[in-house]
Amino acid sequence: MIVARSQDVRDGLRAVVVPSVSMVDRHAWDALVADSDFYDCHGWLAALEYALGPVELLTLHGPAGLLGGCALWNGERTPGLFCLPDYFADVPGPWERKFLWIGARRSTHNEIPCTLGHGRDRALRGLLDAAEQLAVRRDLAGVVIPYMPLEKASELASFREDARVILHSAEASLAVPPHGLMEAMQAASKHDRWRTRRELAAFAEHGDRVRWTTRSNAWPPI
Amino acid sequence: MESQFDELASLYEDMAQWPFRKHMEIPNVFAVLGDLAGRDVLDFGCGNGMYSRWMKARGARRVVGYDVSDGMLQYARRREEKERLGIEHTSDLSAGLDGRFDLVLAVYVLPYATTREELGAMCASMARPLRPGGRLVALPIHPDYVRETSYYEQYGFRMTPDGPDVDGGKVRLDLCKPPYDATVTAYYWNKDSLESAMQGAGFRPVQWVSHGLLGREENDEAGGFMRPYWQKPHAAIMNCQR
Repeated sequence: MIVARSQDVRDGLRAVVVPSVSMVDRHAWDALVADSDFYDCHGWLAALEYALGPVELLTLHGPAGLLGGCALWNGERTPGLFCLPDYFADVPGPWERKFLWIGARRSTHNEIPCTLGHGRDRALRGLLDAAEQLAVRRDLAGVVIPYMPLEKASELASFREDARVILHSAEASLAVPPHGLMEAMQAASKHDRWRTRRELAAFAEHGDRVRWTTRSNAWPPI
Repeated sequence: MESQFDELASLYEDMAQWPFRKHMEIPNVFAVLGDLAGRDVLDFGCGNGMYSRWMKARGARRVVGYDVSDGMLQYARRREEKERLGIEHTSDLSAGLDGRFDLVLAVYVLPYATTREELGAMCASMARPLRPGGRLVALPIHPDYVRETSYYEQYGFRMTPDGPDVDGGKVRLDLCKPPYDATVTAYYWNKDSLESAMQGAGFRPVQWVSHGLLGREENDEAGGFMRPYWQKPHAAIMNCQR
């Protein structure tokens, strides 16, 4: 998860909030969507819009057209997968306030559709800045991008000193027994064991390692 | 691979509607390509894949789009995922594609060879995928394009030498039709260099195809709007047989 605060958009890029996904060319948008990022494709966002009402997008344009964008929504205030006070009960932060949420509504996999190549860094930085400015204008506490792959979250956070990547489970809460993962796996169903192994394998493929440690009470404030 | 074209896929898609392409380049290219029914075609430097899609729609049997720009290929692949025309895309011209095609189309590819050696290598890599007797249709910068900055401006772009106006010299292409304002760097190769590179790659003598004023209605509707371009097009059409 990423939480960011403010700065001006620069480099001649133009950020535009559009009230409906139908206002963005689907081919131009989809060309920015990564293979693994199904929930950000134009078709999925259009389906959300059809089912639940307009999907607001923050788009970033350069002199050659659309460079990046992201869907916006409000998160949820009730306990569950998209409730910040639930996520971070032990982490000091303004979780009771409202944030600008980035990603498709209730999506548990979020990336930022963005141009590839040499203009990518500039575009990601511009989008993050524009999102933060929008959050300020709307009197929100900041910007949240939930359920972002660690690699993508780290890339995005590198553009802002005040951005924070907070690793969280995809589960709203997960009780870890005294003997850690092995004991948790033994208690899980076959399907859940298979899914956990698959997720850990994917995690390891990116060079990440799982280390079990006692949770510290000294979390830095966000 | 990172490329100056990574961010230009949508612009190039829109550009297909600009008059110099819609009423001049595109109909002329298809006139030179001829009947595509049952043909196997390599779209060399396919960009956003628009020619690939059109060629498939015109009956080509196999269409492979090749490009080195990740951004362009991503656009082309996403379109194919939705439209499922049966077009393949690749960023790797492996030996497995050698001698497999009746036609290679290379629209605005030769201007991006930065050296004479690169130009020769590019022509050779356009020749290898062709079967004996196969044809390459390529669009380089026209050897006699107009150097006057404003000449092509009414068509949405400016093209001027960027430094010495010599063989192999840089050319600055400004795509300036609102809302766009993008710049691309290309390289000018004269007629002798282009012909020599083609022949070095194993092509027979090159045929230079003059643009036709195809689609009289479109070309006349704006009082001969396309006529100055037709008289001095910025791109040439080369028809080469292996």
